[in-house]
Amino acid sequence: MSTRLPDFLSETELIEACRKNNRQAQHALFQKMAGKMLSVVKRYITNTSEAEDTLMEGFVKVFSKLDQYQGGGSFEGWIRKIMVNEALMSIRKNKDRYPMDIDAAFDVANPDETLMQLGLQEIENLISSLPTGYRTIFNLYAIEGYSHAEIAQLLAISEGTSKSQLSRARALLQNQLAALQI
Amino acid sequence: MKDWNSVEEKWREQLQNKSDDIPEGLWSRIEERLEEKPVRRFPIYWAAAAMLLIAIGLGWNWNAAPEETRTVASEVTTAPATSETPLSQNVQESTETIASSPISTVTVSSTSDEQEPVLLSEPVVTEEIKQKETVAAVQPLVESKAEPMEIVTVRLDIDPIQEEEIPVAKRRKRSLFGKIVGEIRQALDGEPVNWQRLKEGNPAFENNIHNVANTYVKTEENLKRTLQIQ
Repeated sequence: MSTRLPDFLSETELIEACRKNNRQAQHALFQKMAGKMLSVVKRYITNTSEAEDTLMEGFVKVFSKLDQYQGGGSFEGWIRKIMVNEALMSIRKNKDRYPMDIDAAFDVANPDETLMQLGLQEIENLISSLPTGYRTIFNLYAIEGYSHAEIAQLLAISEGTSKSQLSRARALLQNQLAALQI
Repeated sequence: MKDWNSVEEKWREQLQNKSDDIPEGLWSRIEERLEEKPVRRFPIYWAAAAMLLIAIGLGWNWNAAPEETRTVASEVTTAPATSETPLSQNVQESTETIASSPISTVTVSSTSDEQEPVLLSEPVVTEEIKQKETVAAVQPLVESKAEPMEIVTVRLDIDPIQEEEIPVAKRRKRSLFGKIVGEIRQALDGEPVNWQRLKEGNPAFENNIHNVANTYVKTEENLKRTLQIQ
């Protein structure tokens, strides 16, 4: 990663150059964002090579859809959304179905104090220990900040299912904390 | 006492800026994908070609009534030619009616010198003829259209068909591509197109039509799939 890249004055300049299919600019954008985005994708897809493939597909989509970015919100947020969508599609493609039970949400006990003191790696390990369905909904709601209505639309499930899956995910995280001996 | 929202908020802050190491070779794989983009556009051209063929096919079906359009066209062209005959008839009719009028009774009575009384009454007669002509010229035009038109349409139909048959005979000698171009030209001129003629004695072309239809269906599926993915 020691390749010398041209310095782009601003993000707007970089985006403009990428829109003109400037390969160096596209490489610069990749270098700038790929690390963060790989981390995002890995929270959804635990298999490393699958996560890398998804990241690649995501970047191809970013470059091809760059004209659609209006510049209203954060550019990183826009890319992150594309990566999350790509990850969801990859999960769906690999027949890893989302849980479809429509149990009513149940009250989860208040979180253990230790959950607040966890380090970055421990949080990641804990989240990745969840089954795919729970993990997906927990990531979308708790980390990405989507609402239950948005999650329901994204995954083609009901809002009730989204809520109940989040409750179960939280309960599981509590249990896993003890199991992982963190 | 902490609740889940505050735990999740803290986790979000921690995870937000986390960055993983990018594996070697990932960029070159992306670059390869970016290079191969134009190749993926080919199915769209195929779809466009298939759509064009279908559109021409449909146009041929809609052109199913060419005879009617021909008679309409002949009405326009023959109308000025036929207008002469009813006019002359009108003049005769008008003179007849004049003959029955009180002025011309003089001519009937004086059979020996026909010319003299006619000459005397001429100025009066011509005035009346002019008046009646203008009235009569409007009415019989509409009535007399039907009779001469039948004759004219037959005349028009016979000659052009004979002329058309000659290129048909020539067309048989042409290549398949020439035939298709000829048929498309015919369709553009608004003439009926006989696609069956293309298939005659050419089973390979018939298979090709099925292949084009299959390709169209496949590309449509591909497009749907890609649009869904995007």
